[in-house]
Amino acid sequence: MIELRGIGRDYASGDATVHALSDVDLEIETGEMLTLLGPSGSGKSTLLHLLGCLDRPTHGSYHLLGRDVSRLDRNQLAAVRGEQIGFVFQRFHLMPRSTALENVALPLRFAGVGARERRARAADLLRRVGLEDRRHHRPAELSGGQQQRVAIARALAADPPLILADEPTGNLDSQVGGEIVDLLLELHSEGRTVVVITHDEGLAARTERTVRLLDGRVFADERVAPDNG
Amino acid sequence: MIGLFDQLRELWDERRRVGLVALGVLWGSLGLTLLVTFGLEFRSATSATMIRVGDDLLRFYAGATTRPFAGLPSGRPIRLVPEDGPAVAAAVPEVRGVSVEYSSGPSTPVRRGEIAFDARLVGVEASFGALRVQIPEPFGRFLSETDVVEHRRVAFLGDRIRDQLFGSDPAVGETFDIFGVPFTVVGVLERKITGSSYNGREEDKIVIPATTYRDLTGRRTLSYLVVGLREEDDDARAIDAIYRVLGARHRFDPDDRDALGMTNYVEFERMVGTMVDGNNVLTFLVGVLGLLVSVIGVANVMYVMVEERTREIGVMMALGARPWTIASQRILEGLLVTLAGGVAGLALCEGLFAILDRIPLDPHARAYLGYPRLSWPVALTVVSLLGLTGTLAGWVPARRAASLDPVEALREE
Ligand SMILES: Nc1ncnc2c1ncn2[C@@H]1O[C@H](COP(=O)(O)OP(=O)(O)O)[C@@H](O)[C@H]1O
Ligand SMILES: [Mg+2]
Repeated sequence: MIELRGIGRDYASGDATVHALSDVDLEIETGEMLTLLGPSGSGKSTLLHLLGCLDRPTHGSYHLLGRDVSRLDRNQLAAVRGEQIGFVFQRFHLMPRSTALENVALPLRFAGVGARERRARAADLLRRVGLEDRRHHRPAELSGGQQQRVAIARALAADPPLILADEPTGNLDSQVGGEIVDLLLELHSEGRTVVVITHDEGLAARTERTVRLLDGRVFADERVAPDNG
Repeated sequence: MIGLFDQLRELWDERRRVGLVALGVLWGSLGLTLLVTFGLEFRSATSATMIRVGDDLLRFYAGATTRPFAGLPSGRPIRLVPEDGPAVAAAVPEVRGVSVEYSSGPSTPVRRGEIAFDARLVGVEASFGALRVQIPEPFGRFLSETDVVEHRRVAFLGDRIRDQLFGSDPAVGETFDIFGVPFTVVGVLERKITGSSYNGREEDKIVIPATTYRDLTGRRTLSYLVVGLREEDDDARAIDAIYRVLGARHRFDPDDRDALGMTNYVEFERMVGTMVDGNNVLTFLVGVLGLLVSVIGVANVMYVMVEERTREIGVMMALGARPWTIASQRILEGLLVTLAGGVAGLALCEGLFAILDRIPLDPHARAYLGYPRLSWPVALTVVSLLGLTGTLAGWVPARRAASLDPVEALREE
C-alpha cells in the first residue's frame, strides 16, 4: 500500500540544515498495523506527516496505493487526505465550538456529502465508539478518553483505508489509553492499515510490526507475533 | 464547500467582535451615504436658489472710461439711459429679454394710515417679472406692459413690505402712499430664498413701473440694465456684442470694460457649480476613506481570527479541506460582515432622512438642505463599494489562512 524510497526531509534552521529524515525506505502492506518508536526528535512525527500527505519529502518518492504522491500540489494532497487518510492526534484536535456529532461529520463536509447523510453517518460512528449519548456535547464537556474516541470516529468518517495516529495515548492515563489502543487494534482487525507513533513498549508488543527510528533513520524494522494475550 | 449556515454560526460564535466591526462598517456606510446624499441635494438646492435669482442673467451699471476714445478723454463717466434697453435687445440675438431698473436707497417715504416708514423703491419694465422671477402670491400679479406704458401708480410689494404695511390683511387692490402719492397694490412677491441679491433684499423692495418712477423722482439715468441671455454657453460672445452696442451708443472703446460695470450671473452660477462639484468629490473621497478605515477594521479582526484559529485551520486541512475552501470561507465572512453592517447603515440613513423630512426647519436652511432621499444610484454605489471592500477585507486573511502549512498549524507545542 505504501512504498517510501530514499525519503529525506530537510529543514532549514538558521544557517544549518536539519535532516529530520534521511534515506528512509519503508514498505507497508495493506492491512498492516505498525508502531513507530524512537526517542524524541528522531523523526517519527515528520515521517507520519509525510505518510499522511500533510508534508512533502525533500528527497525520494512516496507511492500511496500505487500513485506517486510526493509531487502533488496542495489541493491534490488535500483530496488524498480527505479520501484515503484518517488522523488521530495526541491532543485530539477537536473543533472546540462544535458538538461531538459535528466534529465527526466535519470531514464529510469537505468531501461534499449532504447534511442529512453526514449526520446519519456521524451518529453511527459515535455509536460505534460508544458515545451515542454524548452526541451533542462539546469537547470541553468530554473527558480526554471520550475526546479521543470522538477523534477516532472522525478519522473513520470518510471510511479511509489508512489510519495514522501520533501518540494517541500520550495525553491519557494508562487504563483509558488501553481502551484507545483496543479501538485502534479493532480498526486494524477490520482490514485498515494503521500506523501508530508511541513511546509505549507495551503497545508496540501488541502490534505485529515495529519500526524504530533514530536520528531520522530507520534503525530497526521488526516483525514479531503480536502479544495480545 | 462549507455551507453558509456554518459560516453564520462561526460568526455567531464571535458575535461580540464581529458585531463591533460590523458597527464600524455601519458608521462608514452611514457616513458615506449621508455625505454623498447631502452633497447631491445641496447641489440641486444651490442651483435652484441660483435660478430663483434669474436664469442666465447679466446686469450692467454705470462706470467710467479708462482710456481715451474718439477724441474723448479717459475717466469719462458713462451712465445708462432708458433707450439702451431696446437698443441691446434689438441688436444682440443671444438676448432673450431686457429691463431697465431704477433702484433707490432705503429712503423712500411710504405711508398707510398711521404706518409710515422709509423703504427701497425700484422702477422696472414688465419684462423684469420673467427675467428676475417675480412670482406673485395668489390673487396678485406682477406689473404689466400697460402699467408701464400708461405710467400707472401701481406697486408690486416684497412680502416683508406687505407685512409691514398691511399685516395679515389682504393687500392686493388696497392703496398706500409713496412720496405722498397714492399707489394701488397689484401683487405681492411670493416668499423666495435666493442665493444672491443686490441693493437690498427683494422682500424689502417696492417695485413700480419705470415710467412712474421717472415721473415721481425726475431721474433719467438707470441704476441697472438687466439682460437675460438665451443660451448659457454664449455668454462671452453675447457680452462682447452688448459692449459693442453700448460702446457705439455712449462712445467708448468696447474693449474698455470698466466704462460700464457688469455682474455676470452666468459665470457666477458656473463657478458655484464647479465649487459644489469639487466639494462633492471631496466629501465622496472623505466618505470612501471612512468606509475604507472601517473595512480595514473588518480585515484586521478577521486576520486575528485566522491567527487564533491556526490550529483549527490546520485540522480542517488534515481532514481534507482544500486551501481554496479555507480561503473562500474567509472571503465570504468578510463579505457577510461588511454587507450586514453596510446595509444596516443604509437603512439607518433612510430612517434619518425620513425624520429630517418631518422636522420643521427655517426656510433658509431648508432651501440649501432640500429634502434628501436615499437614491438608487447612491445606494447601489455604496453597496458595490461595500462588496468590493468586503471581498478585499476577506482577501488578506483568506490568503493567510489558505497558505498555512498544516504541519506547522498542527504543531503539538
Ligand atoms: N519546522 C521545523 N524546522 C526545523 N526543524 C524541525 C522542524 N520540524 C521538525 N524539526 C526537527 O526535525 C527533527 C524530527 O522532529 P520530529 O519528527 O517532530 O521528531 P519526533 O516526532 O520523533 O519527536 C527534530 O530534530 C526537530 O527539531
Ligand atoms: Mg513527535
